[in-house]
Amino acid sequence: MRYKTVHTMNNLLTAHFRHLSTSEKILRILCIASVFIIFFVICGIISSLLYYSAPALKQFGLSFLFSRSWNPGTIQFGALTSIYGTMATTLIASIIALPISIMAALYISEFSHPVISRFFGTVIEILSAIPSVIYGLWGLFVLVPVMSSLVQPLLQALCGSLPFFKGALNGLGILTAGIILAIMIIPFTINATRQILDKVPSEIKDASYSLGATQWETIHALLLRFCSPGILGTCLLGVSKALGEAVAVAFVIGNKHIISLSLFSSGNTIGSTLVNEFVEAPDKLHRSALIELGLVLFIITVGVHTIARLWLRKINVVSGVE
Amino acid sequence: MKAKSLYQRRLVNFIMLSITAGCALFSFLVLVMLIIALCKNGYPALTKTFFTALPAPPGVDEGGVSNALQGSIKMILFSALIGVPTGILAGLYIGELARNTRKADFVLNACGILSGTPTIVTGLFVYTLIVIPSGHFSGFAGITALTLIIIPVTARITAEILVQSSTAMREAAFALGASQWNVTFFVLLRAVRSGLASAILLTIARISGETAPLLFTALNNNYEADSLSQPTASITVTIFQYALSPFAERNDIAWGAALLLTLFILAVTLIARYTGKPQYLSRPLR
Repeated sequence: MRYKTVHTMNNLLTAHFRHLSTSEKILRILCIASVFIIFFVICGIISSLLYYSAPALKQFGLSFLFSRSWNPGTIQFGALTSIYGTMATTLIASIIALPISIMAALYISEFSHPVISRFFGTVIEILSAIPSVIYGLWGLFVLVPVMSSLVQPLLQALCGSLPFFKGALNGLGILTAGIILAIMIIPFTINATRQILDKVPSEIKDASYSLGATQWETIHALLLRFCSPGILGTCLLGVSKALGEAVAVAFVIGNKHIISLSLFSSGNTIGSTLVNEFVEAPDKLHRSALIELGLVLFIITVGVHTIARLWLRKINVVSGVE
Repeated sequence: MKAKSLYQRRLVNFIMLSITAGCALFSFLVLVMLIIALCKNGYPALTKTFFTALPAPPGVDEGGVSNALQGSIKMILFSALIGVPTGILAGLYIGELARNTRKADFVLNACGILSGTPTIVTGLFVYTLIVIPSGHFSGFAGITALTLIIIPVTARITAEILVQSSTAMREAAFALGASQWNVTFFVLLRAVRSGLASAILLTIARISGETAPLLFTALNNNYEADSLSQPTASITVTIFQYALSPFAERNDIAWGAALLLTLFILAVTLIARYTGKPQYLSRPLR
């Protein structure tokens, strides 16, 4: 139990000695009703997704998860390309975003002057408030041209012999989607990492400085050691955010149901497939397969998110991070 | 281990300082590039017809987004009106009525699961809940989806703020014989109102940018929706669909709408920041 306080006394009083007035009863009922909405939604999500994906579950069974074919014409549906795309874009996003955001958080929390740190605090708050559809728009009209005219030719010239950098240079594709995702989760991870860093007692830092350590020595020897479990948790939270993102990715990934080693090739993620096909899906089995995709996304994302949350709780970081 | 000279240690420190500062600057650069792109492409689109006209057929120049503006405002307003009080009540249950019980922990975990749920899945759920039975997309479904996104977030924030608030204060109030009702509304919520208000503003900013759940529930509408039981246009879905359209004038309208949305979110975020005093503003200086 996290709230070890004396308030049980209060509850005991309420329960046994104090007469509950009508207003208190109303308050209690309203609160409990609101709580029930939360449970209703969780149960509803699981049961309705299961119910409406039942036709696809019945038709394809477990092979849904391992089949590459996604063809509304022949009514063949398999989730492998979408799951691969989701994993690949999230991996690219994590590789780019996590080091940058940890470094940036270290700078903002430890190195910088308080005024600068406040300035960056505002910048990051604004960035994390900007909706994904705007990142997607920006990605499509600003990032994609840059990718096709600059980044992709450069990568191909530098290490074109690798299978990862082959293919047409049209700017769309898994790499671009990963970069957009990275840009989107950076503000979130910076904020979360800062909250972990701020939990280190200032006495410890002061002690280190008074021994003559430089700022980096303090960070390296104390902060990173102190905070690495917490930072791991925040990184996982960031990953779960990237997994669940749909709209921004749908703009730039190209939306093809293929698996290719090349990072320049088009692909799709679970979210982007849902966004692109769901509204226009006329066929019942198609819709059902899409809802099953949603179920898979729900399980993956909530799984990662819950692991992160339980981990943060285990190492005793209060949940404010999320 | 050989001791390093002071010069070396300072050099390492400086190098790390530069690298980390570069990473922080990167985030700032992204913001600058975003805002430049938005202003450059979006500002020319913000004409009078943009605000007053209905969407034009593809290829025609005279289109606007008045219906999407109205739809967005309606849906955000109604979902906030329903979702925020419900969320606060659930938060009161976790942070006050069932404080430090197993039940509160359980509810908090449930909220955690919901806030980890991708909003697109919430949209799917509302689609199966409302759109399939009623047979058509509707503004009500959009409101429901946004409400379901607001509730867990508000509940968690309220609970968090209440748990962190002073215990002495509520004990004093109880000791004076105040009822739970009085303590809750006239002591606790009063004491935390500025923090709560800023958190709620941030939540509203967040839902005003939601696209995927609205796409599955309210969809879009080229005309003004007479009532919320019809498909309802919204700014975010308009941006999404117009940006992917092959017509240049539609892309321009998407940029204009994006600029408008960003300005709105920027304003709300800054108001929230300067009313609510987030914790790092009161952080002690090193």
